[in-house]
Amino acid sequence: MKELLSCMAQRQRVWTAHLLVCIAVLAFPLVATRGMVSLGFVSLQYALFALGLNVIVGWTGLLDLGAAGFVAIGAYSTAILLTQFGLPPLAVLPMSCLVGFIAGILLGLPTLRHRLDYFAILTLGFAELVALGIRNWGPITGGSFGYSGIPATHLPFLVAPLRAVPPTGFYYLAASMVAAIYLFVAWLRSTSLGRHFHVIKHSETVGQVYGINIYAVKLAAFGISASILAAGGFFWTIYQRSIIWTEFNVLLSCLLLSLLVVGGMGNPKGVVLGAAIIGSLSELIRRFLTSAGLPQNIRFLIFSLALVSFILLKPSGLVPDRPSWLPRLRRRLDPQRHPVSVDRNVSTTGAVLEVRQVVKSFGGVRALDGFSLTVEEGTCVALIGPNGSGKTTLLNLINGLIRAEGGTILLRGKRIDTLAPFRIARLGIGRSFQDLSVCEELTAEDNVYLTAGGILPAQVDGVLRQFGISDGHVNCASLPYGAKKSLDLARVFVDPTRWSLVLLDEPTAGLTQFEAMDVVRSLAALRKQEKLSMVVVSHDSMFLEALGVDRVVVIHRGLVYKAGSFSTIRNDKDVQRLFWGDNREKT
Amino acid sequence: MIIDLFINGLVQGSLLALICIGYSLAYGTAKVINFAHADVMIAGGGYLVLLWSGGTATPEYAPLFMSMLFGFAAYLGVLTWLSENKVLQNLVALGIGLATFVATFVFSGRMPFALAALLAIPLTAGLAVATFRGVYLPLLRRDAPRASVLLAALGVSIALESYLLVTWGSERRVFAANRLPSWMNAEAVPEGVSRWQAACQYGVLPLTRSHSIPTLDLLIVIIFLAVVTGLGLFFRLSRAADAIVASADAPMAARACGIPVERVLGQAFFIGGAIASIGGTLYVLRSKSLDPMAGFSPGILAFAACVLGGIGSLRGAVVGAFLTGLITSLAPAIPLDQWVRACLPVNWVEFLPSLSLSDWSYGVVYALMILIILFKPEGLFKR
Repeated sequence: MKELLSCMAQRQRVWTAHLLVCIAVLAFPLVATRGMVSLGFVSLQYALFALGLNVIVGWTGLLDLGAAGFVAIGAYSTAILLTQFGLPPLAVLPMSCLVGFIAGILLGLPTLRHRLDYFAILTLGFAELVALGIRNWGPITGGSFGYSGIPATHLPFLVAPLRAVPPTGFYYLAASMVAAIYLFVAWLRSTSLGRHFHVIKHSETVGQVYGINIYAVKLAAFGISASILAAGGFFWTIYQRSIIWTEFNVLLSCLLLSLLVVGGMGNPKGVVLGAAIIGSLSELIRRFLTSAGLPQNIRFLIFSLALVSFILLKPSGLVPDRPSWLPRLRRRLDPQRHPVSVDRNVSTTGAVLEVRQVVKSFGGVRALDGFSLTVEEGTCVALIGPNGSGKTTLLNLINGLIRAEGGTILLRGKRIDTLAPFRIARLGIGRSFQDLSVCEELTAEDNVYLTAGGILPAQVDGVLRQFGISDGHVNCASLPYGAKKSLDLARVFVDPTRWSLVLLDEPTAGLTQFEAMDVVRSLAALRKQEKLSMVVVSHDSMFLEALGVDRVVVIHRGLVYKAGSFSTIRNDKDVQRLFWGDNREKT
Repeated sequence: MIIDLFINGLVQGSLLALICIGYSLAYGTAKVINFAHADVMIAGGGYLVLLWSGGTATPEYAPLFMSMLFGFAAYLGVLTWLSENKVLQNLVALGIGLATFVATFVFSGRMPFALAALLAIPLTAGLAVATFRGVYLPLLRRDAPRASVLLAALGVSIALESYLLVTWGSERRVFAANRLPSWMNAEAVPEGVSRWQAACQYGVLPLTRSHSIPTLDLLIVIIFLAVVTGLGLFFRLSRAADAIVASADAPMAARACGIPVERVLGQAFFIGGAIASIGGTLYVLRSKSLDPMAGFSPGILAFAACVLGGIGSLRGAVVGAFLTGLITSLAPAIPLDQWVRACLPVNWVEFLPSLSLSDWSYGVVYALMILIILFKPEGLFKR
């Protein structure tokens, strides 16, 4: 009850704060001087850019150095639609957004498959090509002299067109646009797409093994980002009424990125604040430099130094991002609205997983050399072997994270070794990781929500308690090592109905004996309850015994060395020699 | 015509290669796309011009600003080469930094060319090291996300470029031709002059009856060959190079073997900066002007060249640079617009963008770079 009251009080505070900001923004032109209003307009325009760029850079963590290219595309398509086709501005706005979106998708299709560095370079090259293209396409874009003669902005119900001095009309137009975009991105973040953005930023591998089509998600982020940037370009054009290609250069991209870095990468509130600060500062400095007759480059010197020093000294920005999916997700993730359909009761007998003669080599090393494995429905198979014997390689192959050179992998008779990792995950193969793979900046609870399908809050609380994490609100970075590993398991087992087979990679490595026993108890209970099939990689024989594995497969140099029940393998002389060497036998 | 363009392409390739080597070293060792590298190069050119003042008017605050920049660079550069004793190290570095500051300020515009060029090399290298120690190293230590490192690199590049623009003003500063030695000014060669005389006095070395190469361009190619040979020998023979390779490939293991990894990475930046300074000097001499804005486009071009060749590989950097030089030089000779005009109806042609490839010279390289990344992301040569 007390918690509920404090929660309500907090909500009220948040609403009051939002309301006050709204009133302040609305009342600003009434009390401000002409010069201040145009400062406000510039800030709002930057806020629009920042919100757009934040979707791709702040949320999915992909460095887009081509923001200026999309702004240019938005600005020029606005100019052309307004001037050549004489369309009304309010019709042009969605059209230029659409043009931006299409440009984003077209650029994203080939480039988003590439890793971060190359993506950054490709976007930079794209922006340069856009600028060159505008310069060289004289008949359409006005060429090197720029595009001028753009008609004044007439809005419905207003007699006079919007004036540039003072830009009060533009100010309100931009303010309503920023408000709309802000609400849109805030909503977007609470959807599953927004969650998936964060998963991708954190780790693409984790996203894939939880069934997220990361390519499609990145494409969506890029398209959305590009269309919002193009909307910013629309305001650029209708306000300036003459545009020139040289303004859309890498300096602009860098300036827009500095809004995010200063304000707080990822946080919509932060980036709007960053835009307000840098936007008004930029305009003030520009005026000062013009009046003092100093070169404009001092502006860019200041921003680039601000950018670098924020990255070095305060990497999270002025208003650090603290994403949480709790409040909205409680409603949104209702399993009845999001049923996850894994049909686990196709057959209760037969093999759930069949690995046939897979071959995989890294450089000259054969990690797997024609390895075969069968997992019967509802059984638990342990995979043991010396370091470097190919255990994790095998799990990665089953997940589709790497591709085999030969052999086949079947899940319930369906061939999966040619499928994309996220499709394999959607067919019902879950995975825990040997290394820590939880998201440090989120709470334990949010970590579970992050990758979940449709679940209830009670399930989350339950699974966290089951794996020994008493307080789900605690920040993950402050959890001890063992708890982080358990959290990885909790994330897998929060909704066991998703999986027909779970791959566990060293679930107890690095854990104390007590922690390991806790994990065993939870896993054994889950096995009994859900009749899950499992493949467990572990060196810990006590753990395997307590878990009650049905079969142990010893893997050595990429081949099956021995297979049998737990006790036969434990007493097998060859296996003992493999693990402990010959010395032990002599003593 | 084609042969002249080809020769010009080779010279441009040599110049680009001198920048590319630094890019590749930075990416190969610290895994940083060092956008600031080309601006370091132009800063080196600016420093040389300041000390030597080749007949250009220098803004009154340029000596102060450049001295500050390079005093700081000298301080950090020396710090990287000294050994472990912290207090002494700092004092010595500080002393050298201050000395550089004062000397630059006092001697600006009064140095003979050769001395200025020699001084510019270690100091530009120091500037490269300063970017590493001041920005990249703290980020690497913190294990910052790659996006932050890239963003910081872009920030440094723009900061340096803006600093140079504030220092020098945005207009191109052309040298007075009479201040340059006669062999640097290519002139028309009168009849009946021996080759040697033509090269020394008129700045042009006749190759055949109709083709010739400016002496300066020839010198650029020779210097490039010398640098590449030296670098190749360095990587083949010296222990210091082994340390660089070890620190690049396995920093943890290198540290465990007693290699001071951070210092070694700094040395890689130093070498890259020194070579860039040679490139910057030659670039400034060839264009006979100092253009503070000049850093960015050759920077991206050099970068594109590195990607073409395979980023992180020295051989790739050189091959990529030559390909890029040849493409930018030869592309304008392809009459693409005439072909298109011949193929398409007249009323379509009006709406087409300019297809004259001289308008697109950099664009062709970007497009090629994009294609290479899309289809052969490891470049032509793997590291």
